[in-house]
Amino acid sequence: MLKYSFYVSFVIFIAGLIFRMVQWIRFDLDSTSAEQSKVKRFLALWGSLWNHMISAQAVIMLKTLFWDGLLQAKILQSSPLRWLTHMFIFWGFILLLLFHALDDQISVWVLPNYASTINPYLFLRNICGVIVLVGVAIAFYRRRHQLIARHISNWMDYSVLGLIAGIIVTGFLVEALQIISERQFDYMVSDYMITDDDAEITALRAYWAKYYAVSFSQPIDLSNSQLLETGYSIHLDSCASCHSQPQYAFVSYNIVQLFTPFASVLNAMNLESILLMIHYMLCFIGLAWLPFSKMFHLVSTPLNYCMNASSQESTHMAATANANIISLDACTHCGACSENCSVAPICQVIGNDCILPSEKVSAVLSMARGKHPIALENLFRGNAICTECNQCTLNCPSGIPLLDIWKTAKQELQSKGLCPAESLIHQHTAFEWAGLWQSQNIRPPAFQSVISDDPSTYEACVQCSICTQVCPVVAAASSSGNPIDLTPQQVMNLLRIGLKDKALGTQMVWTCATCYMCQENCPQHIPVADVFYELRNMAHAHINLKPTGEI
Amino acid sequence: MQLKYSYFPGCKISGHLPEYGKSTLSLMTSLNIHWISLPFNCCGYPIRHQNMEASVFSAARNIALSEHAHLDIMTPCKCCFGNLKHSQHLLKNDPILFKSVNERLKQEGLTYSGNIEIKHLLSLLYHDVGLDQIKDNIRHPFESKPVVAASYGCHALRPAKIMNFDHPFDPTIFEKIIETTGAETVFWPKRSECCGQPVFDRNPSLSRALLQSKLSDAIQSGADMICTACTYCQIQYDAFGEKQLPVVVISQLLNQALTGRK
Repeated sequence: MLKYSFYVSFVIFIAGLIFRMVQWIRFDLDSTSAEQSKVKRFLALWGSLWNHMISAQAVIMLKTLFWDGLLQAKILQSSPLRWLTHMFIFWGFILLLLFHALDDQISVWVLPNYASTINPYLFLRNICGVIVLVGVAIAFYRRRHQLIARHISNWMDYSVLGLIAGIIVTGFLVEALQIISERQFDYMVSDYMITDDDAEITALRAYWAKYYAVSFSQPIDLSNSQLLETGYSIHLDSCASCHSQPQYAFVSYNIVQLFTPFASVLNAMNLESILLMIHYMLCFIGLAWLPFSKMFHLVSTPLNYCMNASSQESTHMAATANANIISLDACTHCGACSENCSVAPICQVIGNDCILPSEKVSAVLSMARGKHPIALENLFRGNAICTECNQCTLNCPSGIPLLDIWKTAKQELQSKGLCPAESLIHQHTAFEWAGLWQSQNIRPPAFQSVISDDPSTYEACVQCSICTQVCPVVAAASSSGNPIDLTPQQVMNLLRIGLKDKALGTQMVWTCATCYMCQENCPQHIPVADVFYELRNMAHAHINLKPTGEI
Repeated sequence: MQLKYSYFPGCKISGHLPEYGKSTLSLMTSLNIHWISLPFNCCGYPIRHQNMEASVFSAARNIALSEHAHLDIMTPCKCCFGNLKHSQHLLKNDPILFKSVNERLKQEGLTYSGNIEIKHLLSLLYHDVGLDQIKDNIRHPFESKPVVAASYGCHALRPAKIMNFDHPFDPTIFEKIIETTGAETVFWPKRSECCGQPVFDRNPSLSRALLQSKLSDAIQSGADMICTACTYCQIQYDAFGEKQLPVVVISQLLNQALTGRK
C-alpha cells in the first residue's frame, strides 16, 4: 500500500513538473510573446539551457546556485529574520529528506556506521526536526502579526506551513510511540536475538524497561539487580551496537514522558503504525502537491536566479517570452515586495489588492493565461497606482524583475482596451457623462471638507475671469491650437448654478495642472483648484463603480 | 545646534533621478547636516486626483514615522513637499479625517499628531542653514558668472498660506541660494509657473507645451542654464527640454561650488 501510494504521488509529481514547464511555453505575458510560435518557444527553452551548460556560464550558474540557492543570500539582503526562518525550514527539511527519508539510499552509504537508532544520528534527527518547527513557527507568527503579511496570506501559505509542521510532528510522535512500543521490542527480539531462552528475554525486557523506556503490559520487577545485570550483558551482545539510549532523541523522549501513563492503551491501539502511515502519507501528499503549489519555487526560483545571473544577452524573443513566465512562477508569495511597496498604504484605504505587488503577480499570471475581464479591470487600476519606486524589485528574494513586469503589464492592459479614468473621460462629452453620474450613488468621502457641494463655496464668484487669465493650461492649450472646452471660470459658473454633473467630465477639470494659480489669484478667494481635485475624486469614484467603457 | 532630519526622497528619485538623491545627500554631508532614512512610503501626491483620503493617509503615515523618530522631514521634491504640507493642513482642520487616519495608523502602532515640520531642501538651506553658512563653505565660486534661471516648482509655492514657503508669485529664496555660488540669477516671468509634469500622463502634448513656454521664457530672458529643486520638474525638463538649455538640480550646482567637482 505504501509502495503504491509512493508511486502514485511520484507520478503526479513528475506530471506536475511537466505541466508547469508546458505553462512556461504556453502562456504569453505580452503580445510580443504571443507572436512567437510554441514550437520555437519549446526549442528556446531547451536551447538556452543547453547553451548555458556547455559555456563558461556553467560556472556562473553554479556560483549562483551556491550563494542564492543554498545559502540564500538574496533573502538575507531582503530581511535577516526571514533568512533565518527560511534557512531553518529549508536546511532542516532537506537534511531530514536526504539522511532520514532516503537513509537506505544515502545515509547507509555515506555515513560511518549508520543506523537510525544510534548517536549522533538519533540526536541530529531531532535537532533537524526542531529547527524546522522553529522556522515554521516564526513564519506563522510573521504571517499573523505583520500588517501586510497578514493581509496577503492565503490558504496556500498556511497549508504549506501546516503540511511541513504536520510531517515533523507526526515524525516525533511516531518515534515516541516506537520507543515505548512492546510490539517493536518483540519484533526486534525475534529478528535479532539468536536465543529464544525465556529467562534471557525476561532479563532483556527488564533492562529495556528500565533504561530504554519500553512499556510492557506484564509488570516487571525492576529492582532485581541481578536480572538487570543479566539483561545488560545480553543487551551488549545483541542490541547496543545499534541502539543508543532514547534520551538522545530529546524531543521524542520528552513526549514519551507524557505518554507513559497511557502506554498500555496506546500500545494496544497500535497507534504507532497509524501515525507512521499518516507520516508517510503527508510526505507523499507533499511530493504530489509540490508542482501545483507555491512549493514549486524549489524548482522555479533557482532557475530564475540562474536566468538573472546569465550574462548571455538573450536576443531570442522566444526565450524572453519563456523567461517572463518562469520569473512569475518564481514568486513564493513571501510578501517582501508588498511590505516594502510605496503605495501599500493606499491599498489600505482603497481596498484593491491588485495595488500590492505580491497580489499583482498572480493577477498578471492569470492575465497571461488569458483570464477574466473583471479581474483585469482591478489589475489595471491597481497597477496604475504604482509609482515605479522599484522597491519591490530591490526587495524580492526570488530576484523577479517586478517593475519590468508591471510596465509590460500596463502596456498589455492598454492594448487590451483598458484605459485610465483621465483618458476615458475624454472619450465622451461632459454632457454624456452626466447621465452616468446621475444613475449612481457614490459613497461620500470619509471626511468633512466636501466643498464642491456647498453653494457658499462659489457664492462670492463674480465671474471676473482672472482664474482663466492666469491659468497656464488655458494659455498653453489655446496657443497650441487646441483650446480647452470650458475655462475655470465657466466651470465655476456651472457649479454655481448647480450643474455639478456636467462639470465632472469637462476637460478643464481633467487637464488642470494643479499649480493653484487660479486659486491664489482669485480676488474672491474661491478654492478653484481644490474644487477641481474634489471633482476628479468624485468622477473616479463613479468610473470605478462601473466597468470602464460603459456609459 | 546640530541639524538633523529624516530624509524623504520620494518614489521617483531612486528609479528616475538617482543623481538628485545622491547629490542632495552629499550636499547635506558637506554642510554637516545629519539625516536618517525611514521606511517611508509614497507621499500621496500621485493618488490625490483619485482619492484624497488615500492621499492624506499615505502622507500621514510618513509624517507619523518621522514623528516617532522626533525629526522634521526634509524632501528635495516639491510635489512631495506640497502634498505632505497639504495633508497636514487638512488633518489639522478636519477632526473626522484626523480620527479615521489615526485609526488606520493604530494597526501599525503609529500615531499622527502633526507636531513636526515638513521642509523642502530649499527652505532648509535658506532658513535652517542660512546663506552666510553656505557662503562660508563655498570654496570654488563660479568665476564665469553663469546666468541661472531658478525654476521654482509650483507645488511648493501655492497655496501660500498652507505651504508657507515663500511669496506665491514673487519668490526670492531660490535665487538667493543660487547667488551664494557666485552665479548670477535672472528674473523671468514664468519662473513660478507649472512645468507641465502633472499632466504628463493625462495630456502629453499639453504637458510639452507647458514646459516649452517656460523654456522659451527662460531663453528670452537671457538665461545660460536652468536650475530646478524638484524631482518632477527635473524629470520634465529632461524629457522634453531637448537640450535647449542645460538644466541642473540645485544640489549639483551647490556641490560643484562647494567641492569644485562636477
